[in-house]
Amino acid sequence: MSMDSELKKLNITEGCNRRCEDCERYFECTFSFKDYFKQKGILGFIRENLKNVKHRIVVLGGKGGVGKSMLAVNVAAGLAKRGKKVVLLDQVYDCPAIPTMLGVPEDARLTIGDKGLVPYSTKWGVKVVSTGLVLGRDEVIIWFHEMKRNATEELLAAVDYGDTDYLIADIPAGTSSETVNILKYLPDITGALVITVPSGVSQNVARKCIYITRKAEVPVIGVIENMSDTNCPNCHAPVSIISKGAGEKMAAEEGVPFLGKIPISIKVSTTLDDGEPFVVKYPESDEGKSMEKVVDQVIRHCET
Amino acid sequence: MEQREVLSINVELRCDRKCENCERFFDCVDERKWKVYGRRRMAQAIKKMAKIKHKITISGGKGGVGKSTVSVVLSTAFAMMGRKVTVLDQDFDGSTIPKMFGIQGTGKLKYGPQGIIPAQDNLGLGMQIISMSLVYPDEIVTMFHEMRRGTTEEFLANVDYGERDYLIVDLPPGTSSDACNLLQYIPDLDGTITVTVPPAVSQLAARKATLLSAKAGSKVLGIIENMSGYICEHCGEEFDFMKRGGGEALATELGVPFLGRLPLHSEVAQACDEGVPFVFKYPENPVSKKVMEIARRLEEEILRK
Repeated sequence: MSMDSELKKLNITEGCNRRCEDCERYFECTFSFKDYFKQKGILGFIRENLKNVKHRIVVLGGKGGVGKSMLAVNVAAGLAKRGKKVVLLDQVYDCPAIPTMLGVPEDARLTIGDKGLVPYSTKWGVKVVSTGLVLGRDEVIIWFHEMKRNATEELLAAVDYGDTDYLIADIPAGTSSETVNILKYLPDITGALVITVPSGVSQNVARKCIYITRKAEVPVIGVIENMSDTNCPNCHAPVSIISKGAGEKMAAEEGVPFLGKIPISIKVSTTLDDGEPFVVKYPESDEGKSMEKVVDQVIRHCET
Repeated sequence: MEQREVLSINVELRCDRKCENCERFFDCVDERKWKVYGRRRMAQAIKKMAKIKHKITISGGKGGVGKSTVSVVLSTAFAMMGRKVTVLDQDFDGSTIPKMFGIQGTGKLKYGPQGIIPAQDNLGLGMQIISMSLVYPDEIVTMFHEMRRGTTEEFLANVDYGERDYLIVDLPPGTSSDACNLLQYIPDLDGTITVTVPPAVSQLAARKATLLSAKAGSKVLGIIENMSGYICEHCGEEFDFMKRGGGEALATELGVPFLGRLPLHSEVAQACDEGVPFVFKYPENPVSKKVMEIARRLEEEILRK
């Protein structure tokens, strides 16, 4: 006789402690008392602090290394190039890379002015708020969930955003902590950009992002497929380095707009290392043109 | 207007004496923290894993660099060398290991008298696979920190591992919760392998992941530079799609071994989508040969200890 039986559930606690402000399952919750959270103090401050910020966009991917920060940096630079006032909020706390990608000098630090933290102005016209501008490169801080939440609150409530056309928030990998925090604490989000890569195995987590935005009632501006098809520089034959087309298919299945493909290229990686967004440096390249199209669609979504 | 530099973000740092729960375990200087290993589940975890000879974590800090792919192919490589291998998937938000082994939906974890019985691979290599998505294949579970810790505990303290040569643990991105939970639970790790991609900007995360392992007292077995170039299927020439050399530079800078570059190849992507580890399906592929070389080098390094 075998004693084995299929494991249906893991022995882990899922109890409710009524601390909605800390809860990572806020959007899945069906208890009605969660609405009290919306009336709590800090959200009022955040709302007041952001009252002159016209459009708020979140960049999500769920999966790591798909190009979330690359997209956030280039969309921000593309909007700034079109004369918009843009603040880029880096929600990546473990390893913030946005300052490097925008060519911010290593010793640059955020400052405090009369009305709160002053975002750092880069030469691309994009202002940056990032914990990378507070901590040194070699400091390994092990962030726990509550710390991340506090940092998110502080970066939303205590930064002097002033008059801003676009606030773009770059969210790290995963679909729990930081993702849920920003969707909870950033009021009236105009839309979400979801970025993915062409391989089939990567689509589940992108889908999960779309489900979460639905639960949070945030519209999806569209899906972008990064690291897409390119040509071999030796024989010029088309190659699909990381499979083919699964991002476009996923967008169609989920019924959300598909904003385009960005080919995988050494240009993209080099410009990120050098801190020069390719949407500004190479607007005529294939990568640049795809990105310009994405920026135009963002404007169309927000301003019409 | 006077402007001052921001020195720290206003976050709470008080201690509630729950060391099991603490993500700052390795930062803490309070010697009382070590008592944690004598307590309940921690002690049980150590006992359950006593017959596993070597334990290795695969970390990266950054997402999408191929930690899961490297975990899968290295495990397969060890298994092809005749070793008994267990793969533990610690990625709870986006676990893909069962899919890469082609057992997503078919493989199940079972429960026996000695605890959880891992799923088996379908290649006849005698590998054990443990993953969250073998329990919840389709559901979207938002895991919060306590649940993550609970799951880590469950997977380490309550699994019937038996006698094994290698336990390969695939860590999720980031350098907080999940990575920390695990390093806390396995005090006698043989070492960590950091997987990174070529660009310089990606090394910010890889550096932190490597430093975290060092902080936790684990040996750094080396750095692998994944996605380093592509071998064109039409002309056979290799070209770079990301600026090469970041991984090797980081290894030199931190004074840890550089284990090698792994380029991409159409057979790699194809095998991955089909759910068969490419080292097994295409052993003659140049990338597979490099993986086998790394596995042999690692074993030498581990046995020398």
